Amino acid sequence: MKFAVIRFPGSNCDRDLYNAVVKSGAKADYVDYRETDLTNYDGVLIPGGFSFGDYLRSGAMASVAPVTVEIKKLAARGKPVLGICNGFQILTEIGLLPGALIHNDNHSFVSRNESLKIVNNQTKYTELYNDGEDVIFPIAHGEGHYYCSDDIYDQLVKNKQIILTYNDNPNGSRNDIAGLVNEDGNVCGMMPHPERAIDLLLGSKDGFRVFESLTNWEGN
Amino acid sequence: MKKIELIITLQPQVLDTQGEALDRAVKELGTGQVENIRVGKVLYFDIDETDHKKIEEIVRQLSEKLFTNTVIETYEYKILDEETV
Repeated sequence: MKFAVIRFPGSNCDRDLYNAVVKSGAKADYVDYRETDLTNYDGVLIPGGFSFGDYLRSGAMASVAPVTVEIKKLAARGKPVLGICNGFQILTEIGLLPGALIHNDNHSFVSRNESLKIVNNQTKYTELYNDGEDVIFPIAHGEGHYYCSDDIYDQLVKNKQIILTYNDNPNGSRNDIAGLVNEDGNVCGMMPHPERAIDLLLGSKDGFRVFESLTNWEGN
Repeated sequence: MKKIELIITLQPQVLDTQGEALDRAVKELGTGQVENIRVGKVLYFDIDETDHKKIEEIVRQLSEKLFTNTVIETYEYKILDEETV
């Protein structure tokens, strides 16, 4: 497996993401946001940060960057596309994931280790976790409140697309949603940072299994 | 050439944390008559078109592709009267 770690101006979790997926045994390259060919890659990782300075809205400018056309193509072919934090915001702006991420309810930037629950381990991203398992991933965001209409929420529940929830909701997210997948299960977005939880030296290694799953992704 | 004013606001059901903070500040200032503050954005730009239909097409396309997120926001625009050439 070879992953493209997309770099936008203002991405700042790209090295963490690269290190996490390489540590789990896959190959990876940093790929510039102006790239127009991702056919050599088996998957895409969109890092956190403040792409284009969060101008206009988080992820708005990134959603029209040249590389997003290629990301959509890979997603349509069933390849894994994981967006973390700003990456999640970008995936909703692109339309690969439903809903939107708005300001935290208290309008504060929240940065802390967060207790989360794996609420669906029947996805390729969570298959190495136990159902209902509590995990610790760091969070660091100001706009992590997941918003969606009632119709979309019903769809998310019906299709079992919600995979990760907050045990102590830090941002007002609808029904504690912290992460979800698309209907096909190959596109995943989450606000917490599993790539910052891959070694006990950093306080938690609960996030590492996300990357082990990616490295052993079948169907490519 | 026409100058466009595009106003973007959060849809009414979407929590506006900036508006809420301003509401509280205004109350603390003692202006009890003001409430329900909603904060939006305004974009001004020039379009090298004069035909209103074409202008509408361009503004709508850009608004829905980039300027706004129609999941949480709405927009309206007007063509400002003065020529900007």
